[in-house]
Amino acid sequence: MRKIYRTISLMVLCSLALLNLSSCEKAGTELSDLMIIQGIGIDVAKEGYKITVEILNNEQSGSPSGDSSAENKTKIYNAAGDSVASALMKLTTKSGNKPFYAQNRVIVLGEATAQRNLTDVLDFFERNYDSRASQLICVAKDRKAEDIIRAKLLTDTVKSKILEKMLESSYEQSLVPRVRIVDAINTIKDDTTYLCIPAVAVQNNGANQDFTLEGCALFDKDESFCMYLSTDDARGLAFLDNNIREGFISADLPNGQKATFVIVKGKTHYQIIKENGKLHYKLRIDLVCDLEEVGGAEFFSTDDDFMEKIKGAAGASVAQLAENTLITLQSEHGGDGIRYGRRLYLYDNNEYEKLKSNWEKEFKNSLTSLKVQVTIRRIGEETFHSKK
Amino acid sequence: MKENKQIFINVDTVSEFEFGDVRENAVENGRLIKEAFKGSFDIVVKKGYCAGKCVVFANCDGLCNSQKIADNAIRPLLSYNGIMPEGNELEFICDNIICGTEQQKQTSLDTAVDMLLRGTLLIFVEGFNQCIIFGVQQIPERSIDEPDTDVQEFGSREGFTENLKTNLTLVRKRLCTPNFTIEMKEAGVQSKTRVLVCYMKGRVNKDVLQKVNERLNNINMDTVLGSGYLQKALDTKRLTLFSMVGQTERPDTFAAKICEGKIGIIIDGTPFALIVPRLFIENFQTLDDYINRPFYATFMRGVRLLSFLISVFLPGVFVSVGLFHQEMLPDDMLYNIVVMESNTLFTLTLEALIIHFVYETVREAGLRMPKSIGHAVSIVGALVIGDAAVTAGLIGAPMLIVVAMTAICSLVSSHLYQPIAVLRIVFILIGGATGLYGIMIGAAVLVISLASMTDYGVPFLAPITPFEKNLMRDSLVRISMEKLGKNIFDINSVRE
Amino acid sequence: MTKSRVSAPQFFSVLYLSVLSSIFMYISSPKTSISQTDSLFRPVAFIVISVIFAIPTYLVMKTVKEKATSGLRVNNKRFFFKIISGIYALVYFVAILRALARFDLFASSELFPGTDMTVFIITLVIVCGLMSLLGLGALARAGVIFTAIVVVATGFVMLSLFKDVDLLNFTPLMEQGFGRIFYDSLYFALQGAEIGIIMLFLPEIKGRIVKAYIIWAILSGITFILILFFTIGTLGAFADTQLFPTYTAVTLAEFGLLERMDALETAIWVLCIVEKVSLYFLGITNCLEFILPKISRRIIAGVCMGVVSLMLSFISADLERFYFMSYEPLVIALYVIPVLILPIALIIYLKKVKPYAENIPNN
Repeated sequence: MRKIYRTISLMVLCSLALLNLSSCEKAGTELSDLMIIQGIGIDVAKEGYKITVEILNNEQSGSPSGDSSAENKTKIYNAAGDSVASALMKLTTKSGNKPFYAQNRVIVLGEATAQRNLTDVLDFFERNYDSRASQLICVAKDRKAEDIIRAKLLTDTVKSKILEKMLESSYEQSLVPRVRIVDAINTIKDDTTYLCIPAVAVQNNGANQDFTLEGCALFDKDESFCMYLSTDDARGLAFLDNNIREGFISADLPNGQKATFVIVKGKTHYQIIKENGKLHYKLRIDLVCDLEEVGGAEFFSTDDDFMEKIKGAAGASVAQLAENTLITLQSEHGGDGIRYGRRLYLYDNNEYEKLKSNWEKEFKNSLTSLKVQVTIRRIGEETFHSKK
Repeated sequence: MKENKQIFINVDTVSEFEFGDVRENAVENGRLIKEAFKGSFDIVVKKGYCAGKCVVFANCDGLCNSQKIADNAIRPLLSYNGIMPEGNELEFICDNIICGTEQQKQTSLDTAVDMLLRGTLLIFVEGFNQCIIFGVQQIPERSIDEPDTDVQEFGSREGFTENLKTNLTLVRKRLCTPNFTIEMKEAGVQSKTRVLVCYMKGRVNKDVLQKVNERLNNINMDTVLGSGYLQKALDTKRLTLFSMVGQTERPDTFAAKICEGKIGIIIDGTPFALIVPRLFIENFQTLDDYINRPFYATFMRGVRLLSFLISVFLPGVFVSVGLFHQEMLPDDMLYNIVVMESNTLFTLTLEALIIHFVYETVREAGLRMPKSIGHAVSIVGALVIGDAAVTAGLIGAPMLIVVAMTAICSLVSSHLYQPIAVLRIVFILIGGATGLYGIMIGAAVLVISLASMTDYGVPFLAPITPFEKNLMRDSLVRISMEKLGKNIFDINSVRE
Repeated sequence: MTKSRVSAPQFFSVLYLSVLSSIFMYISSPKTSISQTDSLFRPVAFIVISVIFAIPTYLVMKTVKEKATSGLRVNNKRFFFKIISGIYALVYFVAILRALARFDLFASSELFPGTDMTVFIITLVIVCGLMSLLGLGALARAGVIFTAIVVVATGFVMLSLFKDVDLLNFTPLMEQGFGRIFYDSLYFALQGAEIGIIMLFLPEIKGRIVKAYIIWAILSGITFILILFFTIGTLGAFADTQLFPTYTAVTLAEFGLLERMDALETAIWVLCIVEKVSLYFLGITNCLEFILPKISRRIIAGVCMGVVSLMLSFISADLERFYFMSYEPLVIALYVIPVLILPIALIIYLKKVKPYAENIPNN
């Protein structure tokens, strides 16, 4: 009995080992068979969608020891199909390699795509196992996504990487919100919040091109495009939506001087009250800044008075920025891009349930009062005694 | 099965030459010995007369000191002209004529012949059915050298030799206590190898000692020519790559382990002594740890453990990441690896296997071939693997780095080299077929099977699991000697 | 097999891994949505319910263990015990199927999408079956090491997720009302069906079982709360769109150069599955060995492996069959039968049949 058991178990193990070994040949995907996508541009085409991808050029004729030749680091492919998935699948036939989305850095939506329904575009990325929920999304302002992906940058680098870095650092500088797939879906699923996606463009720089940040694109509750927010308006979003990271503030001092501050940290506090049937958001923005530069160069003294002045000027500058953004958002094409509705939902759920259905109007009618408190942490190496 | 019996000699059936008791006729004893060793010119039998009594000497030339035989035994005996007490001549010869400390009387001729083969002089006196065994051994041996394995930075420079007595002396001089106990045994039907079971009375667990003795007594082998012969018998019966029997070439390590309540086994003819039971973490401990400062010792133990993990898992993980989980590689690294690996001929799995095969071959060649040409092999190996293979596009440079890293790491814990070499090939295959998940399942199997190893009542993975707080002071971490001195590592506290 | 006794912490570390595997592969469905802040109450309820429902098992322990017997597997020829053992074996057989089917779905959706996982899963079944033959001692000792690895890895992921937590992703407390929370919590507590298996191993556990059990329940609860907190905080409503939200949360974790550690993290979760299934296999083998004393446990384990493999390849072929494994009455039965019904039946039987005590040999 024991012998039979041994024979059987040995046979089972052997066959399993064989199965495993035979799969050695085709298990996994060799690195050379991968189409490592770095950036995806999605445009509208006749058939449906046209996809432009930037992929790593892994078929360089360089030696295996790694000294790559003068060939380009990346290649651009495009394909069209009636859906994003089918267009992406068609890429395989072009390069012969298997598309690999996990390293994708950024998804660029063309102007026309942005004007269509967003959920259609995003569903593939939400469902696909390979694509990470943390990919960044941006909109190509006034142009096709292909133009962005095909931009002729000065150096031979991975363009999508530069774009990704630009978007990341803009977020760190509190210039635009960061929109990953997960953020986009969350906002879309929220009943009241409008989605703000950073907008980018390319700018000619001699014979070459550069990426530029062009504020944000605002999408309404039906995921359709509403309007662009200018660069300044986009900056205000961070202060209104408690997304202050770092960044700078320039302020005009009363004596005509200009001061520039670097934000060290910041936080926005909210209080929501109802006044005369209108919602009143009381915002207090606390900022900790370092003084970077005082321009316009007249001698200034060390007194507290001056410190108060520059603090006040910084506060006023921030308040102005936020106010402008709010005005734009509350204008005709605007909407709640700063999660006021979501905050009400957490703050007073009953009130929210009442107002939810008519939130667009409620948002536009809501009042906001801003109070900015600035703390100066450091003033740099120059003392107040220096004479100029 | 039947043919097997014909091909192999069954140890049980080997007949032995039986001498029986010592005869009263001294010449007859000499004749028996001569006849038994017919043709062996190194067995010397000599007859002489002492005070009129016939005396026969027998010794094995080469194993004993001829000068000592002549000066201390033969000359005093043959030149003695005095009177010997009637009926008590044997006693008289031992006490008054021959000079030497090591002498005993033996009635069994079989035992006497055994002793003869161990380098003693046999003296048969006419009319006595006893013989005198006179210790004049001078067995050729190597001088005490620094051991080649188990190299220590600050430890003693003495290593065991092939001589049992020397080895015992080396241990004895480190453990000057009556508690240090030695039991002598013999193993091997033909070789009759002497085996010393050493332990510390009061610290050793009786059950463990009994089990070791049982296993040693039940050994049924023809010859025991090295420590490995006994290792198998003393080891756990489970089929496993790891061993619960330790091996050391260093008397200081040996002494230290005995103080921990373990049992040491010194085998004649090999410089490697065995220690049971051995725990898994002992593979990451060295004697230097107790000489170095605690923080450094702890750090180095961590480094050794990490090296072990790297040497087992790194190639497999690299292959699986390259084939299944490319997203895990940081962006820039992926780009570099992709460019380098894209131009190679083989798949990653095959690449890893080939280069490991080459590495193991070079290692084995370096180990077995004459030392004088060792350098040539390392140069060829380095050139072939290092440069040519990469340039020719056979192997990617990243894989080469991985294998080089693995090779270095695997030499850190030299005791574990054998399991490491096998395991990493297994993990390359698993990783290449099923990715990280397969590797994790393999790792789970490895850990569970290590955890299942319990021999002599001691779990192999103790004191990590089952967790023993007190022993953790000197396992992966080592606290200072002052604190350690009071709480010596006691192997029996982890017994289940 | 040598019956090595394991300490209570070792045994409960295996159970800890076992319950963790359920939360790691938590499937979101309309009924088990976790994007609401209210779902943070569920682990608290889990602790309370686990402690309350363990009372029958505790009572059996009191009546049986103090007489130094081998719990259920008494060397007792009574038919009743064989029936009880049979039911236990059946329940944990289904539990194995459920756990592995879930893993199969997870593996084929997230780990190796687009590939046939049958060979992989069958390999896993065989590995777990063989590991169970090494005995509880080996599983429990390895469990301690695995627990350490899993806790460190999960803690690391949580640390790197910390910066991504957005408090606006949470929802108002008690939004869906107390009734819903109560129902959800009860349903969530079913994740802890492991506690039924304690019964099968009672005699092999030494040390203070009750204390270890309560610590286990609390630690499991706290781990659940942390995992849910990070899942909700980083994903928000997105969690409900994902089949395995906990996994998706892990994919967001970035730590410096290491950007996508989800493969490593999920590979570490495999350890939980191996421990869980091996423990269940061991339980089944023990029960069946008691029912069929003449058949060697290797053969029993082998047959179990074969049947499980066959059924899994059947389930794997159609998504509908996965849904059946999550069918509510089935899930409830898998909890109620081993945790409540069988221990209560045992207590009643033990109280009624007095001569029981004399029939028990001492171990």
